[in-house]
Amino acid sequence: MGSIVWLASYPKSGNTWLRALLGSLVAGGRAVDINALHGVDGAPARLRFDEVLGIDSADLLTDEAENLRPRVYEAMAGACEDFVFIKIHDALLPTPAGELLAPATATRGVVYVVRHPYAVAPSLANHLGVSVAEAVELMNDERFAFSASGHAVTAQTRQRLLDWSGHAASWIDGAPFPVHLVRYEDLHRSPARELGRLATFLGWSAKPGVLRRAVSAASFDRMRSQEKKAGFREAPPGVRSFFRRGKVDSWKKELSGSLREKLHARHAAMMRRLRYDP
Amino acid sequence: MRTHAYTLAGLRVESDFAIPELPRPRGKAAADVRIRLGRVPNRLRGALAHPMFEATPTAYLLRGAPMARYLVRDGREVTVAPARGADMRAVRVFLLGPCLRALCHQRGLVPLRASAVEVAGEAIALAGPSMAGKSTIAARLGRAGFPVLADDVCIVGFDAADRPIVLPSVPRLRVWRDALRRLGEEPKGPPDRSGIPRYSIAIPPVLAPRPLARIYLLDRQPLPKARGQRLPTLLAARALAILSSVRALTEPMGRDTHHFSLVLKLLAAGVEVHSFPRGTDCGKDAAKLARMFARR
Repeated sequence: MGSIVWLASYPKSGNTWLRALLGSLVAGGRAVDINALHGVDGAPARLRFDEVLGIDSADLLTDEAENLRPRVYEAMAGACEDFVFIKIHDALLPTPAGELLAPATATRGVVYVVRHPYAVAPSLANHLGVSVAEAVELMNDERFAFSASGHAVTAQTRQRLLDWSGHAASWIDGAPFPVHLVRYEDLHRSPARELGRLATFLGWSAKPGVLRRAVSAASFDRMRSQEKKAGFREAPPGVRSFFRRGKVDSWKKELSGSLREKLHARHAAMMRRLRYDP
Repeated sequence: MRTHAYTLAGLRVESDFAIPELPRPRGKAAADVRIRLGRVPNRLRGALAHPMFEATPTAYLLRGAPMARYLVRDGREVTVAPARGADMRAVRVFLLGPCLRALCHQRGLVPLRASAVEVAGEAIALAGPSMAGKSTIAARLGRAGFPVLADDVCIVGFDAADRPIVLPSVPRLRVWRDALRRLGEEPKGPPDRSGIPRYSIAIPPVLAPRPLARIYLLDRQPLPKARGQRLPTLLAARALAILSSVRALTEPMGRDTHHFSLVLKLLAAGVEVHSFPRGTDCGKDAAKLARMFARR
């Protein structure tokens, strides 16, 4: 069994919140610094790639770099004694060379966080600085990728996302290792229970008091006030607040009926499966 | 076969193939480093396994680069086996990158991921990982009148009195096309690798070492209200060790203790390491550094 626990999600689905909760849980329920969260480099970080492989990813073609990403994760897994969390927004796809991006031999499991696509759209728009309509187009586009040019301006290598349903299916159905599904909405409704389930998945025993303290330490308000005070280094440049609303149903005001229909038309099957009503 | 002679880090380098990125040496002497075209094995005996390379204390075999295999031995011999039809410009990217770093480690030099500029006769290094903005800022500082000493690989050694010095590096800036355009220039000639818009821009070679005065660590993802400050010794040592690829390179080479002692020696000699939180604009950051340098 490998030592990597992937924290996988489509962007803007609560991955950061989950990392804060885990961070506090690991620390026995103590307060967490949002600027020192687990898995902070993230899977595609060039920094880690270059450091681990001893070769500059910037001198590699996009496909060449992607082909080597499994090697980076194997090396990271080999270097740690217990387990390591790695945040990842890529869909779980084969690299151009044909092997799975997340190597099964290095992996213990994946925590896949999913959020109602209607709530993802306005948040993604805010994150990318585009209109909500454009964000919906991206969520419906199976060619959507972050850092797609692969070099020159970004600190990350290319991340292929697929469309929203494709992303979810790639991990939930495609992972050859244990998958733990977390719905953002459930995490919101009963955080201590969800965190407890997660701890069980990870093989940790967590006392109810620790779970409660972790939930309170990583509450949305606490994270937002930290961001207001000191800033959040993972926020994209120009984005005023990364921790925006953190509400489950704010999309009811932010997403027009026609955009809902556009998302539903493409993702109805996966939405039904994940219990997201149109 | 004709031999091409060059100078790098104060060493005489002789090569079977042309390396136009390197300056010509003055006078004649025996070669310190010999670069040959030839056969390179697939494996090194007694080496720790690594996905990209194999290394022992005296040999480094790079087999994961896309265009060629490379063997660097004893700090003085490099053998290159290019793939059939390989673009030699691309072959040189990895020769003058990871292979040069390995050669430095074998010779007891510190190959820092940094650019360096000359300020009042001394070297100031701008260190940081890939994409930190080192080259672009160095290019702007060069235009502001601070001669560029190194880019990408900044070779740090010690003089006879054990003072840290920056040795003459590959006299070029490696700049992305977008950054070049923002400087008002268009690339002349092809990129270093076909398909990647990154170009080597030749700069006037500085053929003598310069004392290393200070290192700035460029932080591309700083906290919004972060201010530059001098790093405490242990943090500085850790950062410098990482930025001279200690984990990936020196550990399999069995040299990380030695390498770390070099880093500590550098700090003990009084080289200060300061953080420099990057803004979003290379031009403004370069101007800020230029103002700081002008006061020295």
